[in-house]
Amino acid sequence: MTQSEPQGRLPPMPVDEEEMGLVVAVRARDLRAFEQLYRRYQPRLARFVGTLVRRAPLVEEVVNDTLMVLWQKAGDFSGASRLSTWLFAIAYRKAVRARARDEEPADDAALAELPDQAMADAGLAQDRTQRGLQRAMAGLSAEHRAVVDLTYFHELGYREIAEILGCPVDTVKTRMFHARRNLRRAMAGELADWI
Amino acid sequence: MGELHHLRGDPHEATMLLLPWYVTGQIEPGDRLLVDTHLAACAECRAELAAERRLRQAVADAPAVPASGWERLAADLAAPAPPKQLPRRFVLRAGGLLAAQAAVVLLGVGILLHLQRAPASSPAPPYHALGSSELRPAGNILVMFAPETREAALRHAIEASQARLVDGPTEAGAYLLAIAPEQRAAAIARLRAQPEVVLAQPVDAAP
Repeated sequence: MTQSEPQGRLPPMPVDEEEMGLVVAVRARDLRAFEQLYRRYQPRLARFVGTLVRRAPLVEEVVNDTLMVLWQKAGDFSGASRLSTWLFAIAYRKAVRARARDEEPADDAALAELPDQAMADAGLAQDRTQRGLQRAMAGLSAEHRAVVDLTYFHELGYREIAEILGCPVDTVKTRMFHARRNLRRAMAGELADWI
Repeated sequence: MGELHHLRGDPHEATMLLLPWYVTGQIEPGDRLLVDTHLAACAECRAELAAERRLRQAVADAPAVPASGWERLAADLAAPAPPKQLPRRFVLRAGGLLAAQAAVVLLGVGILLHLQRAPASSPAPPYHALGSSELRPAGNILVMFAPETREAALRHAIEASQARLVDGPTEAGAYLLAIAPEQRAAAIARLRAQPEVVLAQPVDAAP
């Protein structure tokens, strides 16, 4: 399939065949194969879960639980979807449950209160953009943040995001539309400065 | 960026919704053609595209999370559930019960190991990469119909154009038709003559 890919568009994810090889090894209890997949996905999953769950220990718990599913139930992954889709979907469900049972649901606004040090360092336009973005992201709902992050940071397509979130493709697009509008409204100045 | 009015089949709205994935390149070929075609004709959407690229850059530039936690997880895997976490008195009191449970667990593990051995010989299901279904279809006309168009009228319009349907509807509700290059202009004219056709554009796949 890659040889017939038109005009050499970059593959969106690490090579699927190589990952499938690692999954097969994990099924055979190969700890080193699991370590490779862990190191590859843990940072991405941590970032994604961090858009849904605020408390750092809970983020770590959800990410480790997700990757333990890979270790214990790699046989459940059929290869019908990408490994990333499978893992992100598990992480999403676990994060939503963790959020619901968390005794102190973290206040989303906490993200907006950045330390003064960050303010002092924010000399560059790009730093201002990042601060503005963090503030603006904190103002979004968790579902909107998740779609923005999956689209622009993880660079996933709308169908894959719909599969991860378990919702229709149209919902992904309209959530993204409203999230974009709110983000741009919240950081109009920063985005205009930063070109 | 205005409010969305839901007009299914409106290329402007479809473009507005698809722009983020057009920016990242994670867009299906038919939808990409739709956006390309509409952008060429819509200054508002071109301005949106520029703003969208800045927003995407800002999100993509956010600091990544460093990898961590493997050592701890590996240690947990090597030595699962240290019993010293439990109060000592509880351990003593519950010792007998735990021993009984352990026996049951061991029995269960034995059964599981036995069961797992059986399917190990059967081959893994064939692995299908998603990319294989995303080949660009060889269409050269993009067409969209009014939202209320019935299936029969849609089929009639395509047949009357003498072009062949090769893809669609895309997520945005567009169809891709194919016809010999020398007949394309005439086919587009025939399509545009149909009242239910809201857009009929020549498209050429990038080489």
